[in-house]
Amino acid sequence: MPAFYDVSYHADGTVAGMVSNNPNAPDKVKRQVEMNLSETYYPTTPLVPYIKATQDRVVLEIQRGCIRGCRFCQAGMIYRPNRERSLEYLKKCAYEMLASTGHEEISLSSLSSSDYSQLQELVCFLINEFGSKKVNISFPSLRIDAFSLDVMSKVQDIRKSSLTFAPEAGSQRLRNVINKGLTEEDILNGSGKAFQSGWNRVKLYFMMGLPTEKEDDIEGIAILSDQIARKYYEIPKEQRSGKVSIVTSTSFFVPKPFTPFQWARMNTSEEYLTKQHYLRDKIREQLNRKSIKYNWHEADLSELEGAFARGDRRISKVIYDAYKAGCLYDSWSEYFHFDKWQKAFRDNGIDYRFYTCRERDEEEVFPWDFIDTGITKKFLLREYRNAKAEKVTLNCRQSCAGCGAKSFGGGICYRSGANPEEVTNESTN
Amino acid sequence: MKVRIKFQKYGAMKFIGHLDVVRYFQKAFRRAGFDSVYTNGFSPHQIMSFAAPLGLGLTSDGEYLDAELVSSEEPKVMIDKLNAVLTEGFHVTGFHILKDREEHQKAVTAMALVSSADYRVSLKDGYDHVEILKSKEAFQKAFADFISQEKIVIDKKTKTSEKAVDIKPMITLTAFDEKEYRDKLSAKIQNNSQQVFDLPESTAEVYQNGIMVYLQLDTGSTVNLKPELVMEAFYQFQNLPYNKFSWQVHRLEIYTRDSDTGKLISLDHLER
Repeated sequence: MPAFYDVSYHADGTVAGMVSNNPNAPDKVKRQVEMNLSETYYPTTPLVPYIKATQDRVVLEIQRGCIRGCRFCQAGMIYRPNRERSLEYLKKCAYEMLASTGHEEISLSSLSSSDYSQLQELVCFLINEFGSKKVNISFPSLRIDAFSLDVMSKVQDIRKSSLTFAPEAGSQRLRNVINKGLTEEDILNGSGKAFQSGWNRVKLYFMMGLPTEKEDDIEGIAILSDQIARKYYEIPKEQRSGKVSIVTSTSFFVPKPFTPFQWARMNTSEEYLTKQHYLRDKIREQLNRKSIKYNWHEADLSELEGAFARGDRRISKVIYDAYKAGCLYDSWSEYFHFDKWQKAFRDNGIDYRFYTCRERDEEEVFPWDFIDTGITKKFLLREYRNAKAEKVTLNCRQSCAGCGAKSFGGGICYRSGANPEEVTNESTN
Repeated sequence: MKVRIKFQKYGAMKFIGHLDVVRYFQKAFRRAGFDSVYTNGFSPHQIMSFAAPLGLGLTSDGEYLDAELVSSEEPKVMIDKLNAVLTEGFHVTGFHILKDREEHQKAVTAMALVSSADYRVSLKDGYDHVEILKSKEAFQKAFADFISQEKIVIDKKTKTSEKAVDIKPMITLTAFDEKEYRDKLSAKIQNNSQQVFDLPESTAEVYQNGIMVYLQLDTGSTVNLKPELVMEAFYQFQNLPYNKFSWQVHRLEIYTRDSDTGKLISLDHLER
């Protein structure tokens, strides 16, 4: 496909334009979308491995797309609009899959499973139908509220499982920047309820290097982890089961195309390491430091990821050269040779920080602009400005933010009960 | 109710290890719609136990698993239901509903019953590198020399220690072809030697060289002799380096020993 497009560059290395050189290649390639997910093919007789696999369960995708609009999330943007599968369809698929595979666990998968409007009905059906066969139900992405906790304590073995929250940012200010509609109150209440229900392990996921991040926001990660631990010790001693264990993990934020942060500057690995050390020290200052375990990602790997995420066709040679130099299985740290990657970039005359830590101009043409995901660049830019202004955008069920996905003619855009007015591209900012 | 299922394991499935076979049957039971009894407690699982775990790489015509079901249909129906959801490499040949345990009677597991097993050990084609494996006659003579020793002492390694053991008394039958095997077997079997002749079609792999030996070995939790160890001792006796990959071991049957008569009864001819 790239052969059908000619790219020209400005003197500074940014893309000047991309034009089709073949009459059959449109200037913009539109994303194809299946709007009715209840009448599509679903693999109800998947292969069952003979040898125990990590994902030893049936996976049922209950909906596609997400109503939340977190500004760092690529999937949340490019899979718009949110489309739910019908309850009847899911019941049928779940039944057929469990019968054909004999698995003892079913995972209700989606970007945000609690947002599925008939989750309660689906879970009740599964418990009634398969509870006697001891089938476990797991949720890879659940918001912690009373209903979720109630369901989870019914269907999962509390002793084995730990709860996972993804606050993504340590302060409310920064969570507003990224539009993660999870408040400190939600997190603390949620973990409090979970502790009362018997859990004593909580995993927390955060990102470092988000746009506008300051030291306070990083320290917030340590404070929040500590507050959650304190919540555990509010429970009377005789009702607690041992010590609490908080696992706090940080990954480094990598700006992705087709998201409001596609213009944003990514931190350098030096900046990341400084921040990581800062957080480690802050965690050590907390009262419950012994209950908090801190995990972090490799900075070098994140930097490479950043270059690939927003790179252009000039990077293809780098990847090929690195591969020829022996870069394979890079996800395994013992096989990751950052020096070989750096050499491949140097040999091709490319500074990868051109792709990673450069704040893009609002007018800049992106290498991926020829793909039309149905989400307008205008909307993404509006969201980027909202982010910098620390302004929260309501989710798709509350109000339409005018992202452009309505053009697909279905999904949440036409289902929301309140029938909200569409915000036109011109009306804000 | 307790049921005992007899099955064959063959072909590529010989590479599926014991624990994976357990999981395989748990899934198969659910696919077949069996009404299993689950353990109580935090992580409920089906009640299922295997008579004698088969080593990796071995095939078998006589594997047994005991399971507990809430209800069952006719054995024939249950066999068909299970076979319909099994893949090639697993085949159920028997389904027996075991007698309920009487009150105050101790529960017997299939594993505790096992005392002996029959194996057929065949030379794979392309491994006849040494003189004694060049012809059937040469092999049979060499093996007969080996087995006629008064004592066969080997170093038996366990996880913690290594000690010299005489394995000769643990080898209770040897034969070089099927007829000889069946003749010798009928003398050792309790009551109906008929069962020796209504064996299902064997799934054992057949090799062109025709070199093989039938072995009946003590098996179980008290005394246990693996066929691989016998072959290793045979090589030692011949002063040859042992290549464990040159032999295909196939289990034929698993028995318990009647405490009164000392005769063998295959596990599917038991009521407990």
